Amino acid sequence: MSQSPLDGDGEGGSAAAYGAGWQNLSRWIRSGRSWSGHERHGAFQNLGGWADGRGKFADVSFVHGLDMDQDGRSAVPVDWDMDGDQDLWILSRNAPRVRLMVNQSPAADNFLALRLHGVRANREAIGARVEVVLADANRSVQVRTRRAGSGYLAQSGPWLHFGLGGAKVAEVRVLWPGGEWESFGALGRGQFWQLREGSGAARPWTRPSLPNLEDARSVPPPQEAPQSGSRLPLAIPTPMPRLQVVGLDGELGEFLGVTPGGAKGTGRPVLITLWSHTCAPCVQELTDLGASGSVFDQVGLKSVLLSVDPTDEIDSVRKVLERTGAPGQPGWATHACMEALDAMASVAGSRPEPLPVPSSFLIDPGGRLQVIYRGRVHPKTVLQDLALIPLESQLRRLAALPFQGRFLAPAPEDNLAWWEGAMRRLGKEGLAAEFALGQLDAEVVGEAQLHLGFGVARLQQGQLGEALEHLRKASALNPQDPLVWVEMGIVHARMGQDVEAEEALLSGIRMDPGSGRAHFELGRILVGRGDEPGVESQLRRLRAISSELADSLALLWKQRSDRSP
Amino acid sequence: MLLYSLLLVSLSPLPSQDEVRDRVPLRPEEDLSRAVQESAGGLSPLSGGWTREDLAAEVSHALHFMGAFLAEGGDSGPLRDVLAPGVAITPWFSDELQVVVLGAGSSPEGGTAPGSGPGVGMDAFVLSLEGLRRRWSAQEVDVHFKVLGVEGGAERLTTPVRMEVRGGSEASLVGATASFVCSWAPSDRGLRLDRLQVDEYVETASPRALFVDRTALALPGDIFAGQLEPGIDTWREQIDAYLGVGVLGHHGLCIADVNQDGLEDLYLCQPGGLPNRLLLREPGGTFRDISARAGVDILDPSSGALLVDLDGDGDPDLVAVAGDELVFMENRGEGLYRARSRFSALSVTSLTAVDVDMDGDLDVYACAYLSPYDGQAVPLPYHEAENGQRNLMLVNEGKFTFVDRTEALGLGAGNSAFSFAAAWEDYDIDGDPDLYVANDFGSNNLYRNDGGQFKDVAKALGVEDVGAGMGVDWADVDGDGWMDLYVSNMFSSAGRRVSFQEGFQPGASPVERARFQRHARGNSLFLNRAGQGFEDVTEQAGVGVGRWAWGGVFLEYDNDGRPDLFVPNGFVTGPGPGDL
Repeated sequence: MSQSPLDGDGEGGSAAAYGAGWQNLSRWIRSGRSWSGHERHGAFQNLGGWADGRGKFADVSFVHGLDMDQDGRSAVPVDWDMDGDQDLWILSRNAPRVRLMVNQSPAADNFLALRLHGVRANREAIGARVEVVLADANRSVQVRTRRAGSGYLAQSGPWLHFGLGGAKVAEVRVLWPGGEWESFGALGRGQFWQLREGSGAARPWTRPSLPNLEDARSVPPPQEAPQSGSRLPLAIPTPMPRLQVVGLDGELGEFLGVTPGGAKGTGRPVLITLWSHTCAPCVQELTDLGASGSVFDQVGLKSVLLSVDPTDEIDSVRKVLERTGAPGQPGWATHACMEALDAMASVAGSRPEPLPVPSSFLIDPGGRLQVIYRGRVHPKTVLQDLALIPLESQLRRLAALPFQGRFLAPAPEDNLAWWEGAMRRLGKEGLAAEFALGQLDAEVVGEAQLHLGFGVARLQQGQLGEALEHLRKASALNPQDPLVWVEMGIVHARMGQDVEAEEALLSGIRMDPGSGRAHFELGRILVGRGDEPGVESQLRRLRAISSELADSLALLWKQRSDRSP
Repeated sequence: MLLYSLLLVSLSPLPSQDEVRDRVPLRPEEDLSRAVQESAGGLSPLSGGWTREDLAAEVSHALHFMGAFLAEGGDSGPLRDVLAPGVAITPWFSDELQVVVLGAGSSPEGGTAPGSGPGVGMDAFVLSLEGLRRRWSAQEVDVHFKVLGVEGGAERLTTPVRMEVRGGSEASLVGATASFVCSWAPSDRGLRLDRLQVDEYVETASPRALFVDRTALALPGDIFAGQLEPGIDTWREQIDAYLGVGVLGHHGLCIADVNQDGLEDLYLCQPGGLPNRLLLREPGGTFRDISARAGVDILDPSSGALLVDLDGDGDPDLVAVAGDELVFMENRGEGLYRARSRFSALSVTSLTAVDVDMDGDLDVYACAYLSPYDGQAVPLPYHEAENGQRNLMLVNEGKFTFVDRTEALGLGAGNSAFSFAAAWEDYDIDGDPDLYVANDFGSNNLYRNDGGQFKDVAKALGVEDVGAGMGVDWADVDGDGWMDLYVSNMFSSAGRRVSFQEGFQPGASPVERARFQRHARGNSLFLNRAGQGFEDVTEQAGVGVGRWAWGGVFLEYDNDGRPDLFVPNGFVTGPGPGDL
């Protein structure tokens, strides 16, 4: 991995590698692994000694019972039970996300709690400085500021807490924000006082009766329960990418797919189930499906059962299908199909993890993904989820959530651009290209652009024959588009057809001499051919277009020269 | 956050070198995740030149046996195997042993303990450790080491180490922290501990933990167990990532008296797809969830919020992050809220309010952070980034109209360095509020308020605090009447080790190298010297080791009048093996 560039222009290090490094980190923390995980919180007690330069804190994390090894974020000190000592609300990333830690100091009158009311100043007196002068030998002064927002993502309450030790209070004075100092005289220890700007006198406040949190039974630290299976309804149903499957007869087929402006549906809701004959929960799920076959028929739900087993285990696969009577069309999930399903679940659940078996996907008649089930799901749940399909987008988003609430931002009709970006960050360029395709509006861009879009998407997915077909149609419709020729050249090159590739790339370069991609691809062919002057010529042009591409080409040439001097 | 370059080390499938736990034998991590393997393909773990990381691993391995002996006693054979024959040890403590006794009752004797004195040779070393172990007299002891650096060559290696001890019996709890430097000599069977020089040893003891977890008693069951107890990872499995249930879990809380009954209430921010919660305390002290009725059960991603009086009627109104907007809501009494205005503001984290223009109403400062972990931006350059989202000073013009006056007030300088937190304080006691901002990828800002115009004086006053800043708080630590500053930062022992090696950023100037190194130091405590400057007393005060720290805050544990500290730590704990 690479080190950070030393300045903002990426000089002194490779900006691209640095960016890729961040992408790796991003994947790492979503993959279920730790990064500075299991770190304990810290608590430090001020031991004093500051006056003679020997001030110090002691690490009391453990003996104070505050050294939980959670992913802590925010902390707010507050005398929650109003018993004269400060308690702590702590927020964390992992379970439990919220904790109230109650301070069990013995009851005493060694504190003072003050609440300010501004009159000329803002009503809550935020920004006020409060000084408590103690009646000790040094007339020492304690200072607090009434603040709203400190620490991290945290705001404490209106009561200012002062620890007094053994001393009495000689004077309380307030510097009101934007105003003057005001003295409230000597106040009694161990009490709650309200201080109103300009009144010159503090009013005592009587603490109401509150539950005693200290004497209550101890609560065992909760653990995040391992989930056996999970249901993830999409908030914005999204077109399902094309899935390639192999029938039990060995025939390759495909269904679904993102298309310009939409999705390729089957006209019926579809439940895709990934399973293996070696996995007991899968067999149980297929048995459950078998018992629900007639209901599936009634509601028009089509079942597709995709085995992830090796194809030579077809006998075992057939045996389980027969025994369970699971309805639906059986077949094998291809590698590309698995990759697409994995990626969909990874993005929706923001965790780049391979799917477990069984896993299921509920697709609506329009070809949009509605719900992802990791692990076993009961057919009843799936049947209930069919009710999500007809909901309009605002209601649909709310129905996807575990609790009620309100959104301030409206739900978009689609979020294809988000899916495209997420797929790209996951390194799934082919799927990203498919979601890019979905954002094209057929009526606006015209047929030639659509074929170009398809061509690029299929090229990214490695479907070269199909890519070529689309690009040929695009070139017939719009022979003046350099992009079409460049992409076609790349497809030919990938197919090993160097002559056709060179021809197409040169056409592209004629129309757009500044196409770095074309010069790079052409250079690559020339590298393969060992054509040094040719490579040099492409390098010269590339340097003027993109130093990154030029460097890459130079590297390719060097590698070749190193191999065959 | 983590010093970027040390990921070279961290992505390697090596045993964790950061920490050695007693009773947990070192073991290689499992294979890296597929995604990381793919993307890191072809990159050799140690090819970045951090060859000393393997020495650090060897050191950790040897310390493991010391930890096991301290924790369990018994056979000293395995410990002796990692000692040089002439090993020397200095006393763990002298007459000045700092023992902090908390609560009444037990009082462990200070001073010396038999067998803990200095010595030369294996027997003396073992005796010294036994003496320490007897002091703790606990039934269960955890001993934990962090290797903070690797200095010198294979011929003579020295490693500063931090030790943490936790032990408990029915009668009392005992904790200890120590800093020492180990010297290592090579042998044909690997490194051998040659000398252990103790720099500091502090022991704490208490008859019982001062704090107990009472969340389940304080919060209604359906709210706590049903919603707030499950971790972010649980919700990631059930809520569409598009809604913003991010993996990092940055969601804060506000405490305010929403219905003006004197009892403080709670507002909790939640990730996208989970509703924010307003929990009102009833006179009996129990909570009532009024989020829906109050109209504040926001489902858009919400990092931070403030409950402050924005319209001058005395009750706390609400400003909350809701996705890419700030929403300002009026409290119409009894905690019923109505949205009054919205302000488009990308990626806001912490909010903090003050009356910046002294016109009697409250204004709001919003920190903004573009997340490199979500592909929003990559900080460039890492240690002094300028490509983040602008922080905003929103000035209250009345009737819930807020205007961006960031530049006009002089707060535009250096305000796009990926900010997590800020806090107001009149540090120079001249009657107007000044602002400190903690930045993740750059120098922090101290904006001094000079009659309504701000100027960044962080550098001049010595509080730039180059480091990955996550949290800010102010208190008068030393009792001199001037507010002192605590900044929570990332601390990484791996970062410290790596950034001090010669191979690290060879193209960088010494100044730049120093900044990278400083970046991994940890939290910072700055004493305010009469408003004229600040003095960094972190090391002396012993509050730097914060781990991956977030919102550290001042509070009072014991009402002795001296501000204490609490620091929440940790970045991401996953269920899988492996840690960066």
